[in-house]
Amino acid sequence: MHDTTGRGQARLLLRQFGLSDGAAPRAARTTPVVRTPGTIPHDKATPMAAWVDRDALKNELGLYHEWRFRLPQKTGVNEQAKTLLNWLRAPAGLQADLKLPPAPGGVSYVSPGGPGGDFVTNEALMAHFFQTKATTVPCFYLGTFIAAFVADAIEFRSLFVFASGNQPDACMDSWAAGLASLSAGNPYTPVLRAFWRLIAGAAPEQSWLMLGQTVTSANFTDNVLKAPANPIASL
Amino acid sequence: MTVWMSAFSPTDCFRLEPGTRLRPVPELGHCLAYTPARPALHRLNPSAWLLAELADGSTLSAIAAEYGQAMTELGGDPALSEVEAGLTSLIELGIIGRVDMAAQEGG
Repeated sequence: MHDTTGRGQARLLLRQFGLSDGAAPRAARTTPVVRTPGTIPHDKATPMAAWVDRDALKNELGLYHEWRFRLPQKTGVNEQAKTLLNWLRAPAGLQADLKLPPAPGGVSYVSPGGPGGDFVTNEALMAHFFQTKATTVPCFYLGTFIAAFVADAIEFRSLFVFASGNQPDACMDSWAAGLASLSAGNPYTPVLRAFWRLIAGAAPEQSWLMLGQTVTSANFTDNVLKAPANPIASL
Repeated sequence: MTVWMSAFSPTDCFRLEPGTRLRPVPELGHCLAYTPARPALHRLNPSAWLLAELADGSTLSAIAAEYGQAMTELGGDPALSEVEAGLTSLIELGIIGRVDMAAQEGG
């Protein structure tokens, strides 16, 4: 039987990657996200800059935009956001069925050892889409799991999604136009639409704001922008 | 010749720091660790991830034995110094900590 414990998964990954990448344990700090120690503030007026290390994000991602989805619940676990997180981690399908083209750079998006064989998670499938269809995917992918992480860390009371683009409008438009251009039979369409529906479910329309411009020009405290269009509504 | 000066005793025990969250990203070949006490994300390669998973209150001896078994399966030649260096790195990042046995026994 497949060992699904963290220890078992780690050993599985170790076997998959072998010793080619060096056997010695390596752990290093990567994009720091949350700056405020302890509990994340849930106050709606709290500026994002208070708990996101923008300099680190700039170094890691370059240009980016971010959407902050403020969830209505102030206490307890937000079940809709929890659903989103679980969905991100759930299998989108078996690798054998999806027949994904190889991603640039030799990155594998396949998680080994599922019940029916090697599988691709919803999150990985979205990442694969952006990796092969656009140039901004690492940013999106990183943003997605940062969103999951932050949501996890604060008991699903708020979550972030990052995406990149030169201008907020372009960023929004690229999402909407990208989705509109996909045929119904495109294997990526369901996962992308489901993602936005879950986002919409987790965060009511009236509560979501877009913060942004480029990192260098953004004033996160005072320049909170209403999104120019809601791509969710058009789905 | 390099002499490894161990900072640990074979009976020292290790465990994840409270609140530490491990988030595997197998498709990218690593695991992320989030340390809320010192808010940051850390990227762990598979062997560092395995060490973090093995730090469940186990002793250095037990961790080294299981880690060694995993490495031997891959044809590696694990050294205790490698395990200790890995644990030291994880401690410095705030991902795991040494269990205070005296406090536990006293409590």
